[in-house]
Amino acid sequence: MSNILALLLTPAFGYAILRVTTPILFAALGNVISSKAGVSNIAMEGTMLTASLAGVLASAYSKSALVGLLAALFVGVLFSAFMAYLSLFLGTKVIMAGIALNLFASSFTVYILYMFTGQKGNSAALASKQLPTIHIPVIKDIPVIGEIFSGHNVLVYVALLAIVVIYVMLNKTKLGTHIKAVGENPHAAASVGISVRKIQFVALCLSGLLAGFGGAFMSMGYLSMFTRDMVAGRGWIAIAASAMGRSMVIPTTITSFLFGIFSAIGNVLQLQNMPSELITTLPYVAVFIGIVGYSMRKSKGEK
Amino acid sequence: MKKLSQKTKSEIIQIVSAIVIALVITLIVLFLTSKEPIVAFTKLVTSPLKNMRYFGNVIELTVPLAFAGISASLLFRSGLFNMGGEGIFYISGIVATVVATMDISNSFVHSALVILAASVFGGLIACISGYFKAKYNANELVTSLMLNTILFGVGFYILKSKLKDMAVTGVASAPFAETAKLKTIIPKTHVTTGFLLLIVVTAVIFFIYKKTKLGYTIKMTGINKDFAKYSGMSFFSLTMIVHFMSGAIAGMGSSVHLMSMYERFTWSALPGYGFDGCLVAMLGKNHPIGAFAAAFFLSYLRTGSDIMARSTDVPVEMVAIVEMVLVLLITADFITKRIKRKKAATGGTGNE
Amino acid sequence: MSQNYILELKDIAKVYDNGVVANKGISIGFREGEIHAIVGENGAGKSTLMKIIFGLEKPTSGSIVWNGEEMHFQSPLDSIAAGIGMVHQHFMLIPSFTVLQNIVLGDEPTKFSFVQKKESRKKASELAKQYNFDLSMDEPVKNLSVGMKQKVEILKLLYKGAKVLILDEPTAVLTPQETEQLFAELKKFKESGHTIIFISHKLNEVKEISDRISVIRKGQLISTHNTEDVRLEEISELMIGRKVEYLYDDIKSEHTSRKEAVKIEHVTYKSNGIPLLNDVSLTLKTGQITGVVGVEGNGQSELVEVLFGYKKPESGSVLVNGKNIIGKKIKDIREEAKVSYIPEDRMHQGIAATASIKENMISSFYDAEQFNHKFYMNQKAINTVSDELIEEFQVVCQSGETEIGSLSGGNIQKVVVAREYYADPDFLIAEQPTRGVDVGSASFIHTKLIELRNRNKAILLLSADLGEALAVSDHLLVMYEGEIVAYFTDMKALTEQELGLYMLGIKKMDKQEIWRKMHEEA
Repeated sequence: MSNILALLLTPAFGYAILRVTTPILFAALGNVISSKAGVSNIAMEGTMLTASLAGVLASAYSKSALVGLLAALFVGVLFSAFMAYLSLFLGTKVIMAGIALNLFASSFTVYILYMFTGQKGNSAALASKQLPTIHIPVIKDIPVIGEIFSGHNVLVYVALLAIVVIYVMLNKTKLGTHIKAVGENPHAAASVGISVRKIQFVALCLSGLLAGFGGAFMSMGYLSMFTRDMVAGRGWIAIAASAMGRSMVIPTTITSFLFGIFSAIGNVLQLQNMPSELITTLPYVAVFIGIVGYSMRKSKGEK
Repeated sequence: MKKLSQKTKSEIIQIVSAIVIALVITLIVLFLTSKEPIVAFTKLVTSPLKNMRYFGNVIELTVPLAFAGISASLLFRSGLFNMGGEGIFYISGIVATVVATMDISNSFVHSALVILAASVFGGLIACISGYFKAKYNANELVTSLMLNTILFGVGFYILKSKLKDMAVTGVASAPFAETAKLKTIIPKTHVTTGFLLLIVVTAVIFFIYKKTKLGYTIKMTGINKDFAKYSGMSFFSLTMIVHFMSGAIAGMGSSVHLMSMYERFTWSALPGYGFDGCLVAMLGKNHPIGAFAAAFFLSYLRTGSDIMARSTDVPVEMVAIVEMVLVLLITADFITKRIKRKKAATGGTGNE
Repeated sequence: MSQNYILELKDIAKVYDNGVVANKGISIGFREGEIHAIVGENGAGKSTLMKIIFGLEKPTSGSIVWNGEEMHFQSPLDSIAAGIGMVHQHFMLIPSFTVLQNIVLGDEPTKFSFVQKKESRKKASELAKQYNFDLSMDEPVKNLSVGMKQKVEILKLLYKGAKVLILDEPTAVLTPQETEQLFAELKKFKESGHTIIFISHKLNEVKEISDRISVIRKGQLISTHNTEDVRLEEISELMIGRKVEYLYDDIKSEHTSRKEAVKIEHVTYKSNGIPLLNDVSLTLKTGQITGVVGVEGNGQSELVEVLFGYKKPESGSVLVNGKNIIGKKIKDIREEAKVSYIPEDRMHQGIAATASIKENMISSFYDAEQFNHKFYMNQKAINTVSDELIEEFQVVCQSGETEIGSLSGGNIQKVVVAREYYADPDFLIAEQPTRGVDVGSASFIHTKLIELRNRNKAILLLSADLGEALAVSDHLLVMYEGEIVAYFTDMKALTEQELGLYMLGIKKMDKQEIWRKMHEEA
């Protein structure tokens, strides 16, 4: 027991938290934007998965990590735009479209992967690129802090930056104001000439953009290739984080990190002599308990 | 009555046009990606009818898909978005395995016990998400998805540590007792009495929807939860009942599938039937007979694509494109809307 | 007032996709600097017409001429840009936004897409000052009173440079005193050259404020008059085609022995520590309609929610026919205490819109023996009762199988009333039973309520329409800040003006007086 504790108190563990939280944070922030506009995007899982494959394929064929990233972002937006089109223009319920697209992404990515590589399990056959890691000058030389915060994949920093950018976007810009107005009272927004559909469409696309970042991180940072169903529930964990954060940027960031910590603990414990089948469920158990506990408190508050 | 038939008519038009569009898109995709698109397409569409064995495969796969679809449709119809069928399929399979590897001499009793145990257990597990939804309004979509992974972890752990047959390589349970397995009703296939059970379950759920107070309550709650509450219906008990029924049907589907098709329990990943059930429910418009038909249709497509994949350069996952197009076309209401609009435009009396 | 038309409607028609004709051949000219009232029954097509002017709907045919130029408004954006603004019946405000944010919404000044507050604050404050609007720019709108919210709405339009203000039933949510204030403001706008289109069905108000009146009936313009040349009675006749007055004294039977049916004692209900019901005691008697009036948000809805089991009060007791109902389930309150409820929000609470009329007709007693065999529901009994009620309540529909959501508001409300009436309640709660319902249906619904009263049932009638409350009730009480502040037993001696004083909390009866009046023999 004491050596587990020792493992959790190392800078390496702090480093791991940042790393595992990054994809959850991207997706959770994406969900926040869409929820604020009144159309919660639950297809984060499928969007991330599709984007991660796009990143791998584009980087492998262009031999450029940047092109890979751009492709992942583009596909993320495209995927969400498709969903937005379905729900805003064709009348599919957004939750139904989300469920269907998540399931679709799971097989569709395998299909595409097979088309390009002849493999169904992973993209090891492709020489895909990884996004660079960044060593922050000055900070990298500070003991402990440097070990935790420096030397991450560039997208880890983008995720941290995204917290600020999205906070400012929602609270200080015209677009953010309109997103919140549409989510809170669509009729009122429409009455002053704001196009509700357009704003919701944009919000869904932005959520797809963030999922694109998350996907790119998965296959070009967290791992160096695409593997079947590699997102593994992170999109759903993110939605739980956004729900518990009441779709507000700062609380959602906190809950995302909370779930990140549990994932990191799970990863540490797996190295110990414990049944890995049970340990891998740890973050999911944490989310389950978290969302139930949150709902209990909320329903008590309402009474 | 006239109105009813009109509604059914427009729904049929919608479904038929969705299938046609989906097949056309499939053909286009095949032309873009395959060297032998026509061969592949023909295989996909016709091969399940080539012989009895292939057609048997269609029925075999229809069974778990339909059970999962009916299970999901119960929840969706009540306005509950729970996707927990996946984990229940796994954990109920473990329960079925435990009972199926026991020593019970009477064949009917043994197989009945296997199915009963898996169903009851599945129902109880589903009530976990159901309870927290009913009592505290905890988002059932998130809790059920988390439970899927948790149940798989627990189930796989039990399989590896308690049920594993050391005599075989790989992870597999001891063989199921012959008495536990279901009797084949079409020779040379794995179509068993489980298929008959499916028909009974479909009929019972249909009866419940159409004729009973429970069906009425499910419909009203699904349409408008506040109205149901105002009418004196208890959301708590309905949520619990529906979750239990849904879980039980998923558990039943899992055990029936295992006792029809398998010798041992060998799943080392989630089987996917629970998620497929959600697609089936959507395709079947949350209606038991619709789910049955949709399961048959999906199963036909998948059997066809399986045969196609074996003899052409097209992978079986291609079928996901067809499925998604279908689901999206059928859940979107734009086709029915267009029919309505046309009617209004041509001066049909607009009471719709 | 100039004689030039600033805005002219020419032969406007609107036919909806589903074939409903909302407007037909309407031509009206609006002059600069006039208050022009549009009157008509609910469902006459006033709202559709205003939506067309405001660009929310496109006319099927006809044209809109603005300052002599034909316009084709694609969205409110165009009409706002032209100088037309609308105050909607349901306020179009974002509750969590501040007054200023709401005023500039949709038209925010930005620099590099960041919202700039300074100049808009200056402009908005100046406008507020000019018209004596006492508003704090940084207050979230959700904290404001209804009257204040309306001011924000008006300011929003002025800020956007509106020359023509459309006000859709602006007084429906106001107390008589607030209404007076609004009218003073409207006159000021008129003087500063604005044109005001005033939609209402309260004729005395229209008479007081407007310069001209246009009457709309069944989607068509009947006539336009100078207000001073026309009597209220004439307008009323033009509006409905026949004379209707709420006079129910003749059909109310005399009761000699009224018994206690509902006894509410010392009920206190709090939310977040704030008492929304504060020590409310009330006795309702059999054979009596007790009206409840008050400005929205003074505890009326909480009272209903406690009585129907939605909310559990912190303290106090409620007995219906001697049975305690606090902590009971809605089902038990319906079945054992025999309470029925016509909810205010019929679309969200009162019906399942995509189910059939038949399914909606039996929902309050779906569990009753009459409608159930051992294992399945008795379709025959359901059909019989549903068809009977459709006929008795004159629900206009093809058959009981028709989807209820496709009916008009009045017909939907009749289904709700029919159902709660058929439940044969000892105590009926009727919350805004005729809101948004045409005059004919409204008087029919009133008759049905009185029928129940004559059968010795207790009825609680909550209404925002003071005319209705006075005409239908036997007794009437006023709620203010979660308390009963007045109780009246003689409707004849009561005026809307006097009610207004109590509704605003300017006058209050003391508790003994209320208690005495409540319990004196009729």
